[in-house]
This record gives sequence, C-alpha cells and structure tokens, in this order.
Amino acid sequence: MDIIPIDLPLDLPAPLWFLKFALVAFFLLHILFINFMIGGTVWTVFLRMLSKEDPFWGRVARDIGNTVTVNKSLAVVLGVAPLLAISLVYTQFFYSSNNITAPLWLSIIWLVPIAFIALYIYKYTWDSPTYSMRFKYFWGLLAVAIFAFVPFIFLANINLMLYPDQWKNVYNFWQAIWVPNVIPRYLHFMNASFAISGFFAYGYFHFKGKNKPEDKAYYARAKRLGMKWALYATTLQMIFGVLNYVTLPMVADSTMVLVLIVCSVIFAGIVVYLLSLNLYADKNVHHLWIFTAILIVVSLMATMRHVVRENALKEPNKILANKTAIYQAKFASFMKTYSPSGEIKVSGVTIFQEVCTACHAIDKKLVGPPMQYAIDKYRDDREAMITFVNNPKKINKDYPVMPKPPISTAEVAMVVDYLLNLEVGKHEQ
Amino acid sequence: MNNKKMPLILGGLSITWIVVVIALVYGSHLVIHRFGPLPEQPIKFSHTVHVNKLNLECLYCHETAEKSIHATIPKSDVCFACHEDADVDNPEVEKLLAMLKKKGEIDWQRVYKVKDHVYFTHRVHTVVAKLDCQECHGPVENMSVAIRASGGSSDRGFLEMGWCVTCHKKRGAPRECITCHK
Repeated sequence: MDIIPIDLPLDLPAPLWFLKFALVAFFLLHILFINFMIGGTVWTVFLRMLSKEDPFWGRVARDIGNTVTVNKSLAVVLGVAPLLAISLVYTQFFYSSNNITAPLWLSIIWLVPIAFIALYIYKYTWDSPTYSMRFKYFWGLLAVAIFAFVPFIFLANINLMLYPDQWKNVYNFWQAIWVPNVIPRYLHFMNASFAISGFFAYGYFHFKGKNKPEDKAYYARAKRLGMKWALYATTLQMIFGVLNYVTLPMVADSTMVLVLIVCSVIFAGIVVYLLSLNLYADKNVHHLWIFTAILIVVSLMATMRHVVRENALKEPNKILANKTAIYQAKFASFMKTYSPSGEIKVSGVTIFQEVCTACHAIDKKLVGPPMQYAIDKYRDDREAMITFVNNPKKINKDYPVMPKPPISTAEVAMVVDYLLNLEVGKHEQ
Repeated sequence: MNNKKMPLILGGLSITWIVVVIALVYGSHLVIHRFGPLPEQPIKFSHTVHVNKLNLECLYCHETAEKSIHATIPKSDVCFACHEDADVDNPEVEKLLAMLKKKGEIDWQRVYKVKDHVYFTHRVHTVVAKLDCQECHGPVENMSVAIRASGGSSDRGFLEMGWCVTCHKKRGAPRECITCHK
C-alpha cells in the first residue's frame, strides 16, 4: 500500500456527499441501461436462431434488437457522470488501477464503437437479401462477444482500485482478473443483465401491446417471455449472488453490507413471488408492484456496492491522508529554504526548533539530556559533536539511544554551531 | 393442479427461496469473518508519529528483526525510555504509564502471524534477502493504526501460503516444502 499516490491539495467542485450520491445514483441508471444493452443483444441474436421453428422468436428478436441501439446510447451518456464522479472522489485509487490495467482499459475506446457498429450492421441488414445469414450472425455475435468482454475490463479495474495491497502483485489486466472477487462479480453482473433485460422486455412489450390491440396475442406472449427471463435469472441469483458475497474480501465486508443484502433478498423474493403469480397462477399482478419491488432491489444493491467500496478504502484513505500530510509538511519545510537565487535561508535555530525540540530542551531534561549538557561537553570539540549527532550511540545509561535525525550533515553542522554559540540564558526557544 | 392452491404454493416456494438465500448469505458472512475481528490494541500506538515525525527506524523498537526468527514487539522498557518524560499529557501515554505501573508489560496483539506448522525467519528475509520491512508489512510509517497490509486478503490473522509462494517465485527464492515446513 506504499504506492498509493498522495492526494491533490485542491478543493472538490461540490460537497463530497453530493458527489458520492451522484456517483451511486447515476451509476445505477447507467448500469440498468448497460443491462438492457447486454441482455438485449444476447436475446436479439440467439432468439433469431430459433425463428425457423417459430416466427414468434424472430419477431421478438427484431423488436428487442430495435431497442438495443437506443439503450446503448443512453447507457453511454449516463456513464459519463459516474466516471467523472469516481475520478473526483477516488482519484488516487482509480488513477492507479487505470494505470495498471491501461492497455486493456484504453482498448474500450475502440472495442465499444466496434460493438456499436456491429449492432447497427446486424440491425440494418435484418431484412436485406443481399447479405447471408452467416454475415448477419457474424456481426451480431461480434457485438455479443465484445459486450461480454468489456464488463470484464471495467470490473477488473474497478475491483483493483479497492485493494491497494494488491497493486504490487498486479501488472496488467490479465493478472487483475484473478484479484478477488472479479470473476464472481462478473458472473453476478452477467446474470443480472439477463434478469434486468427480462424486466425491460416485460415492460416494453406490455406498453407496446397497449397500442396494438390487433396484435394482442403476440405482445402477451412476448411480455410473458420477458417475465420468464426476469423470474429465472432473478432466481438464479441465489447462486451467483451468494458466490459473489462469499468471495468478497474481508476488508470490504461489514454488518451494513450484510443488512443491505438481506433486505435486497427479501424484496427479490417478493419479485419472484409476484412474477410467479402472473406466470403460473393466472393472476394479474399490476406491473407497478413488480417494477417497484425490483427498483428497490437494485437501489439496495447499488447502495451496498458503495458501502463495500467505502469499507475497502477505509484504511487506504487513512494512509493516503497521512502520506499527504507528511508530504505537505516536508514541502512547507522545503519552501522555507527555497529562494530563486538558490540560497538556503534556514538557520541552525530553525532546524533545532523543528527537529530537535521533540526530545531536547536547552536547560532541562526531556526525552534526551538538556542541550546545556552537550554544549558543556563539546564546547571545545565541534567535530566530535557533529560526528555524534550524525551517528548517535547509547553512551548514557540514563537516556534512551538517540535516533539519527532526518537532516543532512550540513544541517547538523548548522545546529551544532547554533548550540555551541548560544549565550547562556539568552537562547531562543 | 388446483389453481386456488397455486398462489399458496408459489408463496411457500418464494418464502423458502428467501429463507435459503438469507441463510446462505449469513453463512457467507461467517465464512468471510471466520477468524474474528481484527485485534484491538490496548494502546492507540501510531507508527506514523514515531517513524515519520520522530524518525525512529524499525529496528529501534523491533530490535531482533535482523538477528532472529522473530522481529519481536518491543518490551515496555523501550517505550518507557522516552515516555517516562515525553508527551506525558497525551491520554494514550497516560494509559501506557498506568499499564506499565500495574502490569509491567503491555498486552500488544499480533497483527502478523504464521500458523504453527510454518517456519518463518525474519533474519533470512531482512539480512539474506535484504528485503525492506515495508515489502511485507506495507507502509507502516504511514499507519496511525497497524493493519495487515498484505499476506493474502481472505485469511484474517495468518499469512497465506499463496502470498508467500508468489514472492518466492518472483524472486527465485527456495520453494521446497522443507524450506518453510521443517
């Protein structure tokens, strides 16, 4: 953890609580649309493969595909705010993990546009007889592959920033993915993408179907499909969610994390129940209840994620603050000695007061002997005093061994000269 | 199946799901914290004050780090040598002096430890391998409370073998079993 950079002595542009709130809130919105985008891309490609058996699948695949290109734009736009906020609030940690995973981190710049172009090619060649199915599926699968890989890059980076004790062991992305608990987080996230995109499909087909009563059967079936995705993937989170938690590093966990997870599970259970009623008990639970419950789940999860981050960075933040305070004190001390002409303005009395008075007084015992004792002893042997201060040894059983002072030999000489020239009773202290 | 019973069945299944998941989550919490909380020290000793401000070197207090298998936590006379007179108005120093008067020694809690079947020697790592203390113990000079900065992230209290082996591998140090398991 000694490679945590020092903090920057700049005021934040907004109160810290506001930036953290913005980070959590905007990240939640961003990740919901990322879930829509990833899940939707998978469905639009793989459901299309079933369209030979039943044209319903092809139609659903196409309708979902039309939403993905919109969702992806919203996902990107909503990602700007949390990216800026995290850079402001956790600068030293985020910057450091960015550096360690730099090549892959920066590859997002070209990977994501390629995925978007692939999606557009897949979407706009849908009905074209010019292109083979193989061509169309190639672009669709390329988008799926990139969308499956890019979250890995984000997760490896975001996870690494929480554990500065790992930075010395990790040199690149491929090592970062093995830092706990990137892989369980990734699996949990991907399953969540299927669940959340299921909720999206449920809502989308529900509202689209309201305006198309002539196509009621299709929209009812598509809506049920969305509910099933949502139900099965949410139920499966009992595996991926628990795996994610049990592999969480100890420093990131706390009672608050446990409480938030338990509350999320309760509301997720309510979602599972309500969806089951709609699907298997012929009930017609209003979508508002279901969406409210899942919104509570994701909000609790987003909060829990932030608490995990704060827990993990609690001690590193203290180290950061200490390092920064020490650096600023040394810098202030340096500035006292600096002048444009390069002249050192420090005097022996200044050094003595800043460095030696923690343990020495002129005329009384503190930790070390009174300086008057040393003055009397070395009055005629300046060099011996300088030698001793540069290399202290235990010579007096009544006092502890003196630590070597953090000053140069030249500065030691200035202090010795100051002390040996002190007039008795007229010292500055 | 009787449609009237279906909501009850689904309700029962959902509650079961909730209970099972919460049980798994709580079990995970226990697994994460299986070695108990971090040890609380009897006195709030700040390395950052003693090292950064007073420029004490590690060996000033941990005298045997270059001589023996143990680095040792300093005995009370090391603290008393300075604090008999220094900073006596500090509440933590008052506590220190009161403890020394009553018990003679301070009941410091180890932050780093190895299991009984592991042979670890400080002397080899500091003198032979010439490792800085911070290499394993992190930036102790910047810690106001001593924490375990490395050694594996999931095993509270004990250094993990995987962490040791990784460093041995990186530095070409011996990795035979008998090196550490005598």
